[in-house]
Amino acid sequence: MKLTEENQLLLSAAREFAEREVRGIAVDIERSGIPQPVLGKMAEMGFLGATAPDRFGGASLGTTSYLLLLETLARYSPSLAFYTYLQNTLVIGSLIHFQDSEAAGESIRDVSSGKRSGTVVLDELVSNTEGSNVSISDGDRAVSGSAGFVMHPDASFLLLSHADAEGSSLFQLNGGVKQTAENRRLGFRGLGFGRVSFAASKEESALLGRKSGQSVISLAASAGSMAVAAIALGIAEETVDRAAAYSKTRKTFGSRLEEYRPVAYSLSSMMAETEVLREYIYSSAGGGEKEGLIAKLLMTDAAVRASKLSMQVHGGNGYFEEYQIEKYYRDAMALEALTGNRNSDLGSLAHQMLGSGSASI
Amino acid sequence: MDFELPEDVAAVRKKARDFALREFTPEVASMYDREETYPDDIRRKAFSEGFLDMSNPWGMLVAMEEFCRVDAGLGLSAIVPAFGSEVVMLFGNEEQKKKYLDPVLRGEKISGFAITDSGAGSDVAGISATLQKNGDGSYSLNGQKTFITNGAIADHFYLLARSSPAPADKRHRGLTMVIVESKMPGFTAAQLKGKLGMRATNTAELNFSNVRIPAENVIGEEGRAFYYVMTFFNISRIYVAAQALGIAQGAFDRLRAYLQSVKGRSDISRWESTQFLVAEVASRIEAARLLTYRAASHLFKFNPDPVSTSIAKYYAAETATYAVTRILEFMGADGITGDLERFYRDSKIMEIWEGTSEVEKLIIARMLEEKEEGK
Repeated sequence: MKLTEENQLLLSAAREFAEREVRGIAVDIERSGIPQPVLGKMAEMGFLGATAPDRFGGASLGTTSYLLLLETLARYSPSLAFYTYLQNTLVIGSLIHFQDSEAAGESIRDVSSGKRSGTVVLDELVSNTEGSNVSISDGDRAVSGSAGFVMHPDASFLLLSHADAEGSSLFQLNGGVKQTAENRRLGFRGLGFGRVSFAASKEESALLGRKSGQSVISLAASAGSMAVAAIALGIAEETVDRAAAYSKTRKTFGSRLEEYRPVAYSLSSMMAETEVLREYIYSSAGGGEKEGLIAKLLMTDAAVRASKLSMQVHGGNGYFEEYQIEKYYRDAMALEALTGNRNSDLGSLAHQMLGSGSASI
Repeated sequence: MDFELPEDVAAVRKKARDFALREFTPEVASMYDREETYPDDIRRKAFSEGFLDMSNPWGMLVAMEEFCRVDAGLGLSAIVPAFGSEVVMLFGNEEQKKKYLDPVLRGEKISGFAITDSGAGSDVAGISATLQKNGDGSYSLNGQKTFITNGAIADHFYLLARSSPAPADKRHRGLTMVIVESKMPGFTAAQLKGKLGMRATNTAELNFSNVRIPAENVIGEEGRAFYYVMTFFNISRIYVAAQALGIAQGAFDRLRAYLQSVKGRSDISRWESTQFLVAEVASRIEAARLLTYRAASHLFKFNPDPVSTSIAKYYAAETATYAVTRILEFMGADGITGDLERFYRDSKIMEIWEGTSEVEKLIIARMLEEKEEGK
């Protein structure tokens, strides 16, 4: 994999930012959320509008640079990486489909500048069964309903899709959204996660556009499979590195952990797997749905196993918050659950390989 | 060979299941998990219903399994107040049993078992706490212990410390077990917070600064305690296997309930890939159960088999994380917003405490080799 000058500049800027602004507060983010000043600096650096075109005030980064950003942030704080993914891949990634609409353009500009933050209803993406429940009153376009899965529910606006016979509409709700219950949070505890109900008046809601076929939120998520893989990559690399460092200092039965073959073999195997996947992710960064699915399915699975291995190497210490391994262990599993649905991803990949008649029984 | 539990044990199992379903509701389990506090009221209720009955080890084993099936943090908390008691039962004298064991078995006191320190976990002989003999025959205890279950709530601990330097290559010698009371001067305990899982159980760091231990608080013989600890682990590991088995079964119960609940809204429960998941997880759990009961059967007939015990503990612990992980991957967001997210966090410690999976594997391989050589 060869990095361009832009990639290298982005990578060093992201590392420097994470070292300076995130490392020291990574545990606090999990306890009390992402501090507003950190988000302000993220916006200044162009990270919140990383993928947005420059005419909307975005950084207009190429895919590789965006993936490097997510990978780097995930090593320090998967919560922060997820927030960045949410703003870029899902929110801007949905809005961009209707960029000619004035409202959508303004929202992209506000997210990029950090003036406002967005979120999306995840139900259609993540649940095996639940769809959000949305009804639109035709006369005045008031939007009401409820949803079970919303990360960062206190965002300034909420995007949701509404399917009808001809296709799907994207609505933006700037008000009238209320969290009705907090969901349990396995991972990404730096962000809220809740059930919401909404009753937005015509003034509070905007119909950004409609199109036939899949909703733009699911198109954005599908186009963002590589982004999920990049977050998983950061988690896997960080947990393996931390375990390797620990194995060099921790002694048991009179020897350093790294001296024991089972420890050394499992760490080096996990490193090998992660390096191969890293090569795949960056060399396929511009690929299509199939490459994205391959990267996401394999890398999220590897992140779950890498964080588990790291926990095992850290023993009892890894079980406690201060070592942060338990955080990556939770986040790795939450990443799989909150960025799509493994069952439908497996089906889509089979269809890519075998055709639409496959995986049907 | 009979694979049916005797009627009296089956009755305890049913009673334990009913108790757990009644007391460990999702709301209660979530609350103790969130607050990271020990459920003393549940301990009292479980005691008054007779679940802490050391004269009925099969009953305790199936109660542990059934409790953890509903909630592992509360389940262990309900049975753990007598932690370490087997050591004093097996190696303690009558006075020690009367003074320390009996009040625990009457539900009045809580005990703990203190081995691990910050430098030594599974490597028991690597501990650094020391016992120095005083002129009057008593001992001075110095050092620290960490990750001690019941650490901040126990009235006394069965504690391992080094009483004489180990000869080269005989690190397991020179270790002594003493009974330390939490009210003894020089003893301090601080609860450790921020655990991944099992957050209803109390875990603490203990510190000892010249704690005076009377000579009568030495369990068994001075310098022989490594053997006592290993004997204890051969018992406690079977209970850990039962905890892990309960977690795996509990996750499986939730998968099946989920598949029932989605019928009509989704055909996912009819997919053959889903049926494979059900079959694979069910098979692993059944294997773990048979291994656990076989190891328990050896032990409860006073003929413990360390190979069976370590196989059961290792396999059941891996089955717990395997089952929860597979099921969560399948259920996705529907899973992490329910009880299973707690099961995921609770299950991992099974592969770490009471001997890591790595240590269990070494025991299995080395004991098998010894058996072979002994032929």
